Amino acid sequence: MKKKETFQTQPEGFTFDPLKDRIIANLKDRSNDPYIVKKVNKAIETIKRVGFPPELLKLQAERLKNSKLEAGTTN
Amino acid sequence: MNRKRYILVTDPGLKRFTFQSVGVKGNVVKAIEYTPVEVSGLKLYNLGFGDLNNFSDEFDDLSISNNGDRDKILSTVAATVLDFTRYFPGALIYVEGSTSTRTRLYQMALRANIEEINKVLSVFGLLKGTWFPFKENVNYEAFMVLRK
Repeated sequence: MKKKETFQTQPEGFTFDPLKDRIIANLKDRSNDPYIVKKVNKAIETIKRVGFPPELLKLQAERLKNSKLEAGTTN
Repeated sequence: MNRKRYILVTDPGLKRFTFQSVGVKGNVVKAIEYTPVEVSGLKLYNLGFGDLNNFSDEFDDLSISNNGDRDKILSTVAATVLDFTRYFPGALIYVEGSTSTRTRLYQMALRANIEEINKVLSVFGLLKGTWFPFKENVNYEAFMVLRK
C-alpha cells in the first residue's frame, strides 16, 4: 500500500481555529505578573467593598440552573 | 466583530491572548489575561490588558504606546471578551483600567462596539459604589460583564 503523504501547512505548535480565525498556541501564564497581581488585588478590594450587580448574579444563577436541567442533573 | 481588529493568538484554554499592534511607532506586543478570582465565595475573571515589555516580557504598567491604532486595539480587546464568554458563558468578567484614563478607554471600546455587545452581553458599570446597567454617556469606574 502506498504510504499517504502528509504536509505540514502550519508552524509546529500552532493550529488555526477554523471558526474564529484564531491562532492557538501555548502562551505564557501571566497570572503572576506583578501588573496582573496588582490589578487582581484591586479588583478584589473593589468587589468586596461594592459587591456584585444583583441582576448579573440572578442571570448567572438562571443560566446555571438551565444548563443543569439540560444536562439532566439538578445538583 | 465587524470592525477592523488584529489577528489574535490565544492559548488552548482561551484565557490568554496576545496580538501585535502595528502603527506609527512600530510593532508593540499586547497581552490580555483573564485571571480567575474568588470574592465572597463567588467566582469571576479579571480582565488584564497591556503592553508587554520587550526585554522583561512582563506587562509594562507605565507604557503608553500611542501607536495610532487605538480603535483597532479596542475592537481586538472587545473581540476577546466575546471569545472568552462564548467558551465560558457563565463567567462574570471584571474590567477596570490601571488608571482612570485607561478605564475610559474600556468605556470607549464598549461604546464603539455597543450594538454587537448588547446582542450578547449584559454590561454593568460601577459608579460611586453602585452598579448600573451600562449607558453610553456615563463615565464609570469599572465594568462587570456576563454573557446573556
